[in-house]
Amino acid sequence: MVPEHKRHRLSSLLRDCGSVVVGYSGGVDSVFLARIAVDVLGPERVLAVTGKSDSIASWMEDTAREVAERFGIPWLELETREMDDSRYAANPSNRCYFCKSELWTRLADLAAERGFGAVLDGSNADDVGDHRPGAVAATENAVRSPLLEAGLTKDEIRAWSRELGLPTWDQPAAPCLASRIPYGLSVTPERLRQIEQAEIGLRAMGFRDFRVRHHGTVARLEVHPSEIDRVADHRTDIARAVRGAGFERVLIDLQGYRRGSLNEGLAGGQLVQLGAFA
Amino acid sequence: MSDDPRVPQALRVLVEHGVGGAEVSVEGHEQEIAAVRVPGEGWERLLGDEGARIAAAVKQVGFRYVALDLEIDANPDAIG
Repeated sequence: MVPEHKRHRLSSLLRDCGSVVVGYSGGVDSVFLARIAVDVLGPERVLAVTGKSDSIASWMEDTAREVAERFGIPWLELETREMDDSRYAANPSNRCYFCKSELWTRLADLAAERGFGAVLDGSNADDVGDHRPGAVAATENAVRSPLLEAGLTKDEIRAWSRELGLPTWDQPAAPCLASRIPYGLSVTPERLRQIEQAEIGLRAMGFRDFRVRHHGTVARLEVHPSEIDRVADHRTDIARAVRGAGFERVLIDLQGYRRGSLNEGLAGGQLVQLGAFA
Repeated sequence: MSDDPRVPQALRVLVEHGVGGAEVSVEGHEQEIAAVRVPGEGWERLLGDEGARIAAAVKQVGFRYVALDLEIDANPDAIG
């Protein structure tokens, strides 16, 4: 499933780094990268760092901590302050740049202070072409992307994660909570709290792959097509859970969950695609 | 009643696809959502491939998203 040449390439890239700080969100890619880095370099040459802020779901933070403990990954949590940046809070289409700029600057400083050779992120080959303004901040801070450099796709990372026994192997993609707020509608701690509370409610009903999009007083739920027939069975509970989070109206998107739906209104000039810049 | 010209167009598209008796309102900070309320239990028919096709057609009148209200009215015969 995972070509041998890609496995060798990833090991070689990590060895070349010597010692690494890994931006570690608790998602599929960064968990996998940290685990492999420990295998290749040894735990004394790896530090996985999770940025802690209101925009990170608490269950992601829990996953990051639990996996690090279980698999012997040295782990540190670092409070980030992107919410203090008015450019981030205004939620422009390049919002991710300001968040990642804060994160990667802090991690680059940490790596320099502690003598680590490189800072790594979990971007992979399937991310090329996505709207990823945060990748500009990564480039500015000399962050390397060994999964991308090795040509590993998401499916290959999941397959390899499964081989390694990582519980994240089939975890749905889980970007930050701010990604549920349409561009131009400000990001506030209260809105992030509403999103998290509503999503916890849906997760408790067994939904796995969905988003609660925040449109002010309205919540627009995107549920993956494979799970959307379950909405009818849970209609009342969904409405109660989402209203309980502070929304006045609850809508179900008829086209279901699709990655990056809030980018659908962006013009070409607003898109910043991974792979399109040096 | 909304005076948004997209609303009657969206209602017409819904009727053309066999969804009668619906209400459409406009939501979102950029007025980008067509919020559809369908009476009766027939709204379940819209959760799936058919709903996705109908949403694609409604988007053509100028909405970015088409979404179904979880509130249900009492008339079960309005969806055909």
